[in-house]
Amino acid sequence: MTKESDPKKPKIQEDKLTVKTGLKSRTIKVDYLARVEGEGALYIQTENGKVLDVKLKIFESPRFFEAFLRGRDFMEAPDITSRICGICPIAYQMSAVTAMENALNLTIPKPIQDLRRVLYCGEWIESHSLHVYMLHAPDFLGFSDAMSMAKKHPELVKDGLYIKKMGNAIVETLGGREVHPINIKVGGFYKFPDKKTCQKLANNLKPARDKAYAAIKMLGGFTYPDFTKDYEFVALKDEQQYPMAEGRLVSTKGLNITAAEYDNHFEEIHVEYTNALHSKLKKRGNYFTGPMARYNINQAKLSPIVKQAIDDIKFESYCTNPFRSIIIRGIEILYAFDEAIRLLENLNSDTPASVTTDITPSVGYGITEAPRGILYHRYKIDKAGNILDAKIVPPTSQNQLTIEQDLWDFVKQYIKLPKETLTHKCEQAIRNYDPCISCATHFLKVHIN
Amino acid sequence: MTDKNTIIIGIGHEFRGDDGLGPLIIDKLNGKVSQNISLKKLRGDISTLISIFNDYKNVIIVDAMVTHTAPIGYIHRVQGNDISTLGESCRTSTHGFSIPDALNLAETLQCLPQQLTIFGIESNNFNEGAELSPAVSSQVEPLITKIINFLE
Repeated sequence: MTKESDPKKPKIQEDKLTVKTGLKSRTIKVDYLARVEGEGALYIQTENGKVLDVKLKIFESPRFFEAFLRGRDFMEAPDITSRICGICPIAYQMSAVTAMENALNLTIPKPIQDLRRVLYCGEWIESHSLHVYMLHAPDFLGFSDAMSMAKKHPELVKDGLYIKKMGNAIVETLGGREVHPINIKVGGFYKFPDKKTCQKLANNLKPARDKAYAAIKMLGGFTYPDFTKDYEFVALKDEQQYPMAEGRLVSTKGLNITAAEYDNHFEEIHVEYTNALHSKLKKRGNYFTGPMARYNINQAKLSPIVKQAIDDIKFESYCTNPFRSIIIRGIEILYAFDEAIRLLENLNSDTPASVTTDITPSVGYGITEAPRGILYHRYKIDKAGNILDAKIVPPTSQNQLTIEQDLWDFVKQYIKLPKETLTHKCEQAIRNYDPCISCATHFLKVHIN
Repeated sequence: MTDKNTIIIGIGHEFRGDDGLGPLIIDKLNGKVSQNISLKKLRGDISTLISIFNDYKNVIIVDAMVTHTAPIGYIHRVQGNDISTLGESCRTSTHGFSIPDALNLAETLQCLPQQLTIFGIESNNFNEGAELSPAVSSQVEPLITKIINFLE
């Protein structure tokens, strides 16, 4: 949550802001970004009205998950990788099981796919609602943090906490635990819920769906900076449904590949000033993954109630203003409730909880849609099922270059704003991506002498 | 206090030294308190506390505490909403609030429980992978006794 505690006005604290007051140059330096998950900093240098340098510095310590996965059993991958994140553990579990099941050539029955999709709905709800109500809404309502916002808008915060609670309820009921669920495994689940449990949960979600519907009108009423760009959006695309763990990887500029082809088209680069690798398309550079990419590529697959909510606020069918991403997160919260209810009410509970197959040496690939965007896992396993090699590319590291480019272009466009206002808007621009810095932090190589 | 609207919440992470106190107390209370009393472990997302406040009249929180006002191993009991005495009473993940943040927010939203009691042990070791420090570990059973006596 926020590190700021000034309830009176949305100002940056003096000890965080370093300013050169020379006539020709300005430095915007935020040593500790507020209202983002994890530890990062911002540095922007301008001179004579031109942007000279932009750096988004991730100084959160590297995690080394890819290293210590080596030698572990393939069944441990979802439980180990879920520890990368406390707000999106299911995304890591889903990408891990998808990649392992790809390696094993294991076909997953539809009831298991459906239950996994419900769990993913729960995670989208809790992650998006935390961001929308606690981290990002204060920017649009003129508050420095959720605490000060709660004093003027208590019902808004209560609604946000209630919506998050219902997302947590999905995860706890079906996953066995709110944080780092324990019910997901390669091949399915340890335990499948009964019909009564599913119906009770579905009934409990319906009032929350109503709240989520009403929230879209509120989000549509915020004031948004005028800032649009020609992005290359990258997301899964599925012919049947709004994708969470299904489909091919496509972009708005011609990419159309399977998960197995990911490494042929994307590369990670270690940058000196940050602990997170920069990810880029080999042919075209930076790209944009996350809710806005999913919406722009797949909005035709949203359910009728969601399309009605979009129509109510006359939201654009193709959005290129990242500041309006908060609306799309609101849209996805509503979709997740509606989809979870639909699946729970129709779930075939009379089914084996999991399937198995023989292990052979192989490489497996998996891409699923974490709340913040595509999450890629690749594993190589031996004949005993031991992991020989692992690669994990989280969405926030994939968006880093685009975030920096946004800052570059935003500062160019709004360079005449007062320094303090511009600094706040730059922090807000970073929050557009709901970055999960703990996930993104990563070293390519570590040399120990 | 044996109604169905009481919950005891142990906050912390069992693999982070003295932060494991809360979950440990919940494990030890299991089977020792009335079945009418709910027991819950909570790690990381302290914003969930506010949801719990809405559902229960009487809330007891157990956590490692860092107040710098007492020797390590001292058992604290904070009654009501005296947040100023809590100090840094919760080591959380970067995803959530601290306990004082959660209580402040609950107070702002007017959803504090009717009765709130916080039990804790003054702690100083939150190293990842560490066990409870000896001074804290030695006070676990006395704390259990205090909580059970408080409930009766």
